[in-house]
Amino acid sequence: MSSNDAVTPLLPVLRVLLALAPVQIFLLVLMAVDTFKLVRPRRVFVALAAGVAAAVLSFAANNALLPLTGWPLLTFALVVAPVVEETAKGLYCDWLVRSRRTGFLVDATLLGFAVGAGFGTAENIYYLREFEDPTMTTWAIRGLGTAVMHGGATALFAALRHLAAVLGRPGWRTWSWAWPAAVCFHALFNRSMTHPVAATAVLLVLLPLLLLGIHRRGERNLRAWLGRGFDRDRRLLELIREGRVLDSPLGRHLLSLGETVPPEARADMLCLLRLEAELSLAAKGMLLLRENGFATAPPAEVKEKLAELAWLEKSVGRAGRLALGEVRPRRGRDLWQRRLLAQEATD
Amino acid sequence: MFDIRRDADDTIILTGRLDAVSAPTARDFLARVDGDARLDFSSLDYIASIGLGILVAAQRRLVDAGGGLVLTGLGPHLREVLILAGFEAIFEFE
Repeated sequence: MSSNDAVTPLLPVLRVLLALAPVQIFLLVLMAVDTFKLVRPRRVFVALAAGVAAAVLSFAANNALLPLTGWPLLTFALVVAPVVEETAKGLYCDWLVRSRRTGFLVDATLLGFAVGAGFGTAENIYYLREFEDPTMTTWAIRGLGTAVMHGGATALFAALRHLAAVLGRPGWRTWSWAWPAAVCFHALFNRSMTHPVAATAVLLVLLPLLLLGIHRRGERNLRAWLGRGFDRDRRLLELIREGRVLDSPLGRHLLSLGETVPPEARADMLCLLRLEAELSLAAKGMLLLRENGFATAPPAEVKEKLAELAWLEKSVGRAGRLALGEVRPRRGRDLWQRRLLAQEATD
Repeated sequence: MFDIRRDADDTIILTGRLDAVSAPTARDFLARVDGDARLDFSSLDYIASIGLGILVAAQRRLVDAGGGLVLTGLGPHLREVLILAGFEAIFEFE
């Protein structure tokens, strides 16, 4: 039996590995460098599934649009497909950021890449079934290039969308950065398919640098937020514990509310602030421990405190919440950290 | 001012304020600690989150080597903060 005969049965396996493995390895590396373990594997699977759904959606949309445009496939792939596909992938990332399920560039980028990886994997599975192309180069390009490009484009979208939200850009304008960047990234890669090997090589050099740079910036912001927030929450707790609140700006603010907020609601407002500070310390303490490799769950009573907090928020009412607005920490990150605690407390 | 040193019975005494300015001093001292060690906080006026990060990093290294830190002389507020932050899971408090 010649050596070719020995290799032949392995070709299908090699083809599948080349087409599917690289983007998943890339994703595992991003999960490994997540020092604070902000993203649990379960959330990565959900993001992968969202990417597969986006692939199905895009496939249907592209098939409907192609005959309408009347353009050749290559032109369609350069102009229309990137717009359709980056929009479909971007929808889930937009929801993650809008609903405060991402707190920093770290988790936004990782989940964005996972959506793109799901998309790229689904697309390659489709091509593996449809095209019996014998050349390994095609599958190497699709696995190391196209699928990784999908992950990178969506990670870029998620990171820019997150940044826009943190900078307080209104909803629709947050897409004005993120979406064109992802579409251009995607179209540029498609455009360079005239030199696929070179394009894939450039992608495999530049994308890791880009993603790890974004990741490092995200972890630096997270550390700074941890330190500032921890010390602020401690001071508030100390004020409340030692009964020195009324001498503080917070106390004067509560007193200035006068009759607009009933006395019992003001007492609940103080309890709400104390509870928020305690929960904030629990979340930040958990992240501080995780950064040093201590995979601890939040203290047992966190679940009851989260329930009590929800009750207090209802009790102080809309007027109370508005009145507290000025003295409460940044709402976006506060909601994210509460969601992180709730997720960890139920795991 | 911040000071960290061992006393006669080998307990490590922390005095003053452990914040961003004094953090390198504490980090360098704890980097030379091995095995089990007792930290006495009764003379410590203030510890910032950067100080807590240094304690956790030191604990990580010592636990990996089979040792660990015991925290003593914690004031009521600092003890409460450490418990709220979940540090009871990795440190022994006295």
